[in-house]
This record gives sequence, structure tokens and C-alpha cells, in this order.
Amino acid sequence: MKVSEQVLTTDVLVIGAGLAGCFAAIRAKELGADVVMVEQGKSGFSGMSAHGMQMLRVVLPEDDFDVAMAGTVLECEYMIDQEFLEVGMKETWDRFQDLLKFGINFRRDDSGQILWYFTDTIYPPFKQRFAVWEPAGTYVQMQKMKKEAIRRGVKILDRIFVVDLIVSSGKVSGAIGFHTIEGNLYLVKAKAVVIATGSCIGPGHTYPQLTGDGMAIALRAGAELRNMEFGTGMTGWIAGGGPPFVFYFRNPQPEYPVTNARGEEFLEKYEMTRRLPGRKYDGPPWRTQAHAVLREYKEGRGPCYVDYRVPNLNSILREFYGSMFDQTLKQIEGTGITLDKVKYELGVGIIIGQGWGIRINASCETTLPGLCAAGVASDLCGSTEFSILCGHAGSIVTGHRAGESAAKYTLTQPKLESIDEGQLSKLRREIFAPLDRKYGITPDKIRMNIVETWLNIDVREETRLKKAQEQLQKIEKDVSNLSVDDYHELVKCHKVRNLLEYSQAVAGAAMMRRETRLGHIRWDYPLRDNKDWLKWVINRRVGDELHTVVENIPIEQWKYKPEPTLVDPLEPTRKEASS
Amino acid sequence: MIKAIDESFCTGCGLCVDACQMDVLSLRDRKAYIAYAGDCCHCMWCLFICPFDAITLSPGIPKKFDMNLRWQAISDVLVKLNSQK
Repeated sequence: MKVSEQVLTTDVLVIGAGLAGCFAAIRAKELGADVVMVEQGKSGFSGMSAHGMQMLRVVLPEDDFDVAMAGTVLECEYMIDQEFLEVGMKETWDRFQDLLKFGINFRRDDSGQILWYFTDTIYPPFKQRFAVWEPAGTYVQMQKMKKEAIRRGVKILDRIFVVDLIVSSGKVSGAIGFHTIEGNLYLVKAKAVVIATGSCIGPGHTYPQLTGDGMAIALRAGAELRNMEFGTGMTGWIAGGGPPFVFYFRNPQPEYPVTNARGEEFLEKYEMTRRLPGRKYDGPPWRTQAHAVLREYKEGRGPCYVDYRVPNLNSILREFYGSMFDQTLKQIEGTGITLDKVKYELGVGIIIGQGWGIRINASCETTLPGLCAAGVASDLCGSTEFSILCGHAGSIVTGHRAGESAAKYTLTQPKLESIDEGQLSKLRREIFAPLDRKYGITPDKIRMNIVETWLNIDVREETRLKKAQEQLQKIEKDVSNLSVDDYHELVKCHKVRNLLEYSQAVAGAAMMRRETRLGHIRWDYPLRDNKDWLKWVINRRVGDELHTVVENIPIEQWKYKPEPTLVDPLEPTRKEASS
Repeated sequence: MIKAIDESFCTGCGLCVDACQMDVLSLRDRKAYIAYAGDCCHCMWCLFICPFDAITLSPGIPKKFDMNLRWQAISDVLVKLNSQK
């Protein structure tokens, strides 16, 4: 198959033009680097950034920093790198100022001051402060970020899917990919690369194009992944189950009743002390909701439902979503569904408070020289909004730091590494192999097969995880046998390969961690073990094999340590919260 | 998911094609058309961005993305695990 090849040369290549990617590109440019940013979709529209613009966690200089640290470490159940957390939290304020400078707006009160909201957390002294993007939940903000990046001289290339990093002499030296519509090859030679490709979200949601690509690419190139066992939730979302648009209205913690099959509002059994005056309850954090739902299922009281048919629902949502609400409601009602008639079954979902992904240090450098990671693709930035450094706050902080590290790294590299032509030829052949193959299996089929194995990954105990690993190994053969007819389908071929490797990393890490913590629920090890499991689980490639190892968390060096006990994940939050 | 593009309103401006994350839409003969309906993830950007209200969606998402059946499967597994104790 003959396609044209474009070769670009730059200092810093940023993969992913979401919030983290834009911040990385802008910062690297500020420090004098030449920057190319590639995006698999359309910059300004793609990924979680464009959809998720709702809340931004910030720590103000006048806030009680120690309380914020203590609360966040508790939210992350001691898995967070506290050195990173300390610097990251301080920088949320600086990055917030950057957003305002870029012309991005937040909800303000009548006098024009930023309107601050607060949610309770599992640590009662700590009220998490957040601002609300205005307008919320729309691509308008990402369009402004993109404009700012272009204004600064960042070169943005849309519809480029990066298939692999190129590594020369043990350092990153660029990446290779192709245009998702026209099929032309793109070879970007770079001194440093920032991966900002977001998460891996299961189907049944509004980002099925997020298939953990950056994590798989980094793993193949030789970087480490960490905390992958906290990567759950291919089976759907909690408290947002049903058609994807229902997801938009899950925030703030809803007043919609959550019931089991008997009609009992069971969350109150597991409830913590978070009740705002005048409201029924603020609701426990998502991880408690997820645990609670799973307990109900396990004890035979499932399925569970979230009931949107409450009085004044529209006014609650309108109050929070503001200008975005009416437009969204119009679109939803255009499909024949109105929210006030909706009651949905809950499933398990992504549980938050800790990221998982490419291992980074406090400067957002990975374990591979020349490679940085930012946003949800990194392991220090979770994918939703529960702890401060999850969601957008995490993206802007890690994006800025990754861009800075990448730019500084390029100063240590006087010239580009030369790339082995043999390696390139092999990559070119592999990229287009499914197009050249006349008969084979489709990427959609493989994707569903992978999703089927997730029943054994999401319900975790040893025999099921082992079965998942065997199933995934069988699927490896199918991935070498993909056959497609166009570039649209070719993109999916590479994505399912990444999805497979992501799933193998999660299954391996889940098998390794023999306890329950955050979203990692082991039914055969149901307690949180702060005695023997203050450890990180690391995935790395050794040749063609995936290795999974554990490493002690250097908790002795840090300020916040738990009691070395074993606890029930649901019970003690009630006690901890009320003490 | 995306149901139809009304050609009497569509001007072929291409905004929906640009906004689609999944490359579902394309342009042909100066009109947008649905090239890969099965990949629509119901993000609704095309609906939001079309200046001419030319796009209609239907409720629900393609079967291959439908995870409802799996929640029952998880429930079955958990109950079985519980009864084995």
C-alpha cells in the first residue's frame, strides 16, 4: 500500500490536544521550545476535556493547606505521591489564574466575583472548593484553549493517530502515526514527547475513542505504568447509568433517590456525615456509592436504581448547569426522552480519588528519558473530580509541569537522535498490515471480546482474574489477524491493540494487589490492608513480556501515614468521618 | 445515536464533520452524510454545533455499546460468590 509520508521535526511533541496537552504545549512554547501537538480527533472538541467542563478544584492561598493535604491523602487512601501532591495543590491557584488569562470564564456572583462552591469530603474539616466553568459542559472552553495554543505558535495537527513512539539509544526520539481520514503517514522527530491522551473509558459512554492509547504506547516504548489496578469500570458508570446524556446531570451530588430492588434507599446505611442544611443528604463519595451498590448486589438485593423522577428536578439542574442546561434539555427532549420520566439501573463504574496510568514523578517525567506524561494518561491525575488533583485541576497542573520538564529536557539534547531506518520500515509495515490482509477479524469484534473479559476483571477474585488473563492472551492472536478496508477501521485496529494491552496491565495489577482499596475491590481479600499493602503495583515490559511487580510506598518520608491496621472499606469511613 | 441529516436544512458547512470525535460524518456533494452510523457515541456535539438544526438523534446508543445486560451479569456473579462463602 503506497501512502505519502510527512516528516516533521520539532523540539517537543505533545500527543493529545485536551486540557493537559494544551497546557503542556503552551508551557513548553513559553520556555522557547518548538512544539507540535497532534490530536486523534478534532482539537477543541475531542475527549473528556471538551465534555467534562463542569467543576474545577482549586486551593486558594488563604485555604488551610494542611487540611487540604490531609483530606486528599485520605481520599486517595494513601496511594498518592505526597511530594507531588504538595507542589501540585499549591499550583492549582497559579493555573487557575492562567485559565482566567486565557479568557476562560467561571460562574460569578452578582458583583462579578468568582462564585466558589464547596463539597464535603470524607475528612470533615476539609471542604473541597471548586469553581464552575461558564458555560458548563461544552466545548466552548476547549476552543479557547486551542486558540491560545495557536496564538502562542503551537502547531496543531488534527486527525493524526499516533501508533507508536520511536526510541533510539534508550531515549524517546519521536513518534509515528497516520491521518485517520486520508491515511498519510506522519513521522514526527522530536527531542521530547508529552503524552496527554486521557483515559480508557468503556463503551456505553460518550468517549469510546478513549482506549488507553497513551498508556499502551508508553508501555511498549519501555516506560512504567503504576496503579493500574485502580483502573476499573469497563462495565459502565454508576449514578449515571442509562443513555449517555444522563451522565451530564450527575453533578453535584444528586438528590435523586438511589434504591435497591426492595425500594430501600440503602445509601443511608453506608452514609457518612455529610448533610448540608436544607438538603436531604449530600451523598457519600462515589467510591462509597460503588461499594454500597456492589454490596447490595452481592447480598441479593440488586438491581439498584437511580430515580430521576423527583419534583423540581429541572430547577435543581438548571441552578447548577446554568446556561448549558436549557440547551441540553432541548436536545434530550428532541430524542423523545424527558428526564422526569427516567429511572435507571445502576452498574459498577469508575471509582476515583486516585489516578492510574503512566508512572510520573513530581516533575511529570516518566521512567523513559525524554518522555513526560500529563493529565489522566498519567498516574497522578485521576479521571473524575473527587480529589483535588483529579479532573481538570490535575490536567492543568500536570500539563504545565510536563511541558516545562519536556522543554528543559530538550536543552540537554543538542541534536535529535538518529532513527534506525530498519525500525521505521518495520513500523510502517505494521501500521498498514490490517489493510494489506485480505481476510481476518474486525476490530469491533475484538473490542467486544475484550469487553466480555472485563466481567472477570471488574468482579475480582483470583480464579476470575486468572480466567481474564487467559482470555486476553487468546485475543492476542486475533489482534495479529485483523483485516479492514479503510483508514477509519484501521484506526480501530490500533485502538483495540492498545485496549488489549491496557486490559492486560489492569488484570495483572489487580491480580497482584491482594486487598481492597479505592476502586480495586477484591472479593477474596475484602479488607483495606494498611499493614502490608502500602505498596505500588508497577507494570513494565521486559522484551515481549508484561511484568508486574510491587514497590513499597516511601510513606515514612511523608507526613500522612495510616494506622497499620486492616479495615472494612465501608465501615471505617463512617467512624473516621465522625471523629 | 445519530438518526438523520435533513438535506433541506444542511448547507454542507462541515461543522458537524469537524466536531465528530468518532469520524461518523462526512461530506459528499456539498452535504453532510452519516458514513459510520454504528460508531456514534451520542456525545451530541453535532446537534449542538449545527447552526441549521439539520440533525436528529434517536434515543439510545448502538447495541455494541449497550452495557445494560452486563449489570445483571455482575449481579449474578456477586450473588454466586456470596453464596459460596
